[in-house]
Amino acid sequence: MKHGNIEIKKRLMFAKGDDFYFLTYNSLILLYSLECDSDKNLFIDSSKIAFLTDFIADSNCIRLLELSLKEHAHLGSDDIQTLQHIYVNSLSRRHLLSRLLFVLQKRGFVSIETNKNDNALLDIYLNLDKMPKQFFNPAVYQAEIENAKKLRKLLPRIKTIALKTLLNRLFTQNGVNTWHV
Amino acid sequence: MARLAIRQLKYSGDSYYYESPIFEDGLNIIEGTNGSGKTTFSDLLYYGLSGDVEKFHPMKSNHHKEIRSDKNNCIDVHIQIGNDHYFVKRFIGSNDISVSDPNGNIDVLPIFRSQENKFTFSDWILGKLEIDPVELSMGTITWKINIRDIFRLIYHDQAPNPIDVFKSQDVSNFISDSKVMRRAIFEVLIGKAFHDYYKALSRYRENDNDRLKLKGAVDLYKSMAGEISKSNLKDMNTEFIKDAIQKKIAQLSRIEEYFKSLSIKPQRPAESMSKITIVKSEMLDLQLRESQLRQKAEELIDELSQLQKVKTLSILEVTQIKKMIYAHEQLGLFSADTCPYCLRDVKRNKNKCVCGADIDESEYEKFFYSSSEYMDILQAKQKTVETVDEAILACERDLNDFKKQMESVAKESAEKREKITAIINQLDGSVNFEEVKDASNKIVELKNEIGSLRQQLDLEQKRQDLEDRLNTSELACGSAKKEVDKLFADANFEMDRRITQFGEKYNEMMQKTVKDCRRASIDSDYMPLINDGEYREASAAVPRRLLYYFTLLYLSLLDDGIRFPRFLLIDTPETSGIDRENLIKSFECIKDIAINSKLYQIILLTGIGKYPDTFKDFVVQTVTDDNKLLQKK
Repeated sequence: MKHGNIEIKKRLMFAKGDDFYFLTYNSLILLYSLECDSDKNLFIDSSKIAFLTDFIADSNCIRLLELSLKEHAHLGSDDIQTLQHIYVNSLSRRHLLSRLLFVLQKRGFVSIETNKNDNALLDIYLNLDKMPKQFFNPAVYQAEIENAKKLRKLLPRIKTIALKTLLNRLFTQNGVNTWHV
Repeated sequence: MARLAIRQLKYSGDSYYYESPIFEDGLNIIEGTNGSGKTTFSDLLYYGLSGDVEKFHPMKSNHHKEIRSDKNNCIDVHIQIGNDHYFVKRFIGSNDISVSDPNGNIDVLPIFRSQENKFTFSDWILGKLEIDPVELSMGTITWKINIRDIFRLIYHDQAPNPIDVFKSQDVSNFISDSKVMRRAIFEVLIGKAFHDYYKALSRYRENDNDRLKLKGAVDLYKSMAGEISKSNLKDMNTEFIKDAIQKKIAQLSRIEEYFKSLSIKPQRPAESMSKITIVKSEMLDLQLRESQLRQKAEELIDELSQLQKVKTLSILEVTQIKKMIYAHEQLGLFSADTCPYCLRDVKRNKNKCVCGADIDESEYEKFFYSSSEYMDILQAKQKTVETVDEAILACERDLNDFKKQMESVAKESAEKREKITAIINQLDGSVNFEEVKDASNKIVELKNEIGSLRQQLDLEQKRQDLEDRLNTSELACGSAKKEVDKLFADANFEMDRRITQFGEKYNEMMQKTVKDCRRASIDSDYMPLINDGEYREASAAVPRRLLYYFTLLYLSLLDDGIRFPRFLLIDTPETSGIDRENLIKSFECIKDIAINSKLYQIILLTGIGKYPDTFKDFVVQTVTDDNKLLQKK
């Protein structure tokens, strides 16, 4: 009975967006898809990842970006609200994600380096050879990989772009209230 | 036959007066010198009996000085016709004559016929004298014989040319002085049958006049009927027209009946209105229900879309959990014994927390999920998807239900709306204006047709009536014509006898009077013929005329049927030029006239002593220059 309670408790406490594995596979697929797999192909400023995981995880979110960036359509209030939601969630998971990245770094899956131009920034790249060979299985992560590719098309300079510019492109331009981070 | 006698003549004015002696039957002589007033007497008498005397006209140059200068002057003539006495009064200048009898009855009669006064003095006196005022026609002009025409053979005036025998006309025109007229006067006065003939002729003329008028009217109606037949109406006799009218009336009454049915106001409109109100409220209820259902359906649709979203998200989550499990299995990053702070694996003893404190193992809260725990969560999430699916299904079922309800309510509502429309249409439809218009047009048309037919019937009836009258008139005319023809033959036969009688007496008296007269007679125009027209001595002119008058008087005494009124007024015949001997011889013929002791009257005006000695007793008055006829008052 007690055991059952714990099971139920755990189940109830499950929050997908804050789940470590959820953040892990989306972050890894992002880096994988952007081909950030060496110190020459760095993903500049790892803090940007927190704001991108939702777009990798959900094709609906990518659809919103496509609408606003590619087709220059005005988003509806629902869509703006969704973006707002993503923005707020992303903010709250920033800290969690940075801890996760250090775990991944400790395991050797990724490498983290201080940005050469700005000490406050941490650049990141995948260590593919440390990764299990079957991890980026397209049969499993096809949707995420597709989303990542779309994201790269929408924001070609996504790897090097500054956080502020990224936020501007993703949220501020679409009418989402953002504040200085 | 009735005869005329003058009993007394009176003249009375402001300045002058005259009162004759009483005239007896037989001969009455007034003798007088020239200019003493003999002719004034005859003028007054003639004027008093409606004659026209030029000298009494104010504008004439030879007017009678005394009478024209006198004022308030009038003539009174006491006459006797048959046994009746009348007092005839005429003022000088007046065209009316008043006639009174001894009983005090007075009639004022005009001398001339007018539209207002058809009955004249002439008609009156001729009526009394039993002479019909026959009508004579010449062309388009008709002339009625009047007393003045009769006087042309009664009044032997001082004619400048006695050859004409007849006294000249007061006012002459080609008819009144025509030969036909003179013949007619003679024939009326002398011929008994001729009198009847002229009477019949006059009647025939009247009939013929009527006939012509009727014929004109019938022709007019016929031409009108022609006009009618040219128009829409057919030429029909009265029976057919009556039948047509009856048919049209029947048609009209049917259409009027139909029109009434069209124009009947909707029956019990209040009921219809209340029905509408009820249906309307029912419809409103249904519409309310429909809108409630629609609202619920919209809510359901919202719910459904939310559920779909939940389902999508749940499915996404399920796949994501699967991916987490995959990642967990592949990477094995965290375990139940991962430090929540440093995320490194914790090596701890059983029933001890990472902080070292004692703890019930079953109560030890782990921050990370194991694969089996993830599977539980996955299952739960999949269950959620199933639940959501169920909810979606239920929702869809409800939505379908609502949709069905909405459809049925909408249908019902539409039915109610149609019902209302039907009731309203029924209200509107009860007065179909097109039909009403058509019907009323038809009614007007029929009424017009009936009116035309009635007019036609009226015309037709009048035409028939006129034709009937024309037929009657034509028959009457025919018989009148036959009568006239017969009478004309009779009259001619009689006239031949009269002419012979006249000729015999005239011849006898003429031979007695004129020494070289061998044979005197009258011709077919009743004019005297002496020695077969070869004798033209001027000295014979006076007896020729005078004896003609005497012969007329004689004939009237001979035969009762003759209308000549047995009265002569003879004014100074010697003025036309005759010697005393011949004059006296002529006068002596008067003795031959008196036969059968029949009554007559002659008033003779002559010069003093210019008459046979035996006539001396007949002198009733002698006028001289010292004792003129008109006495000054």
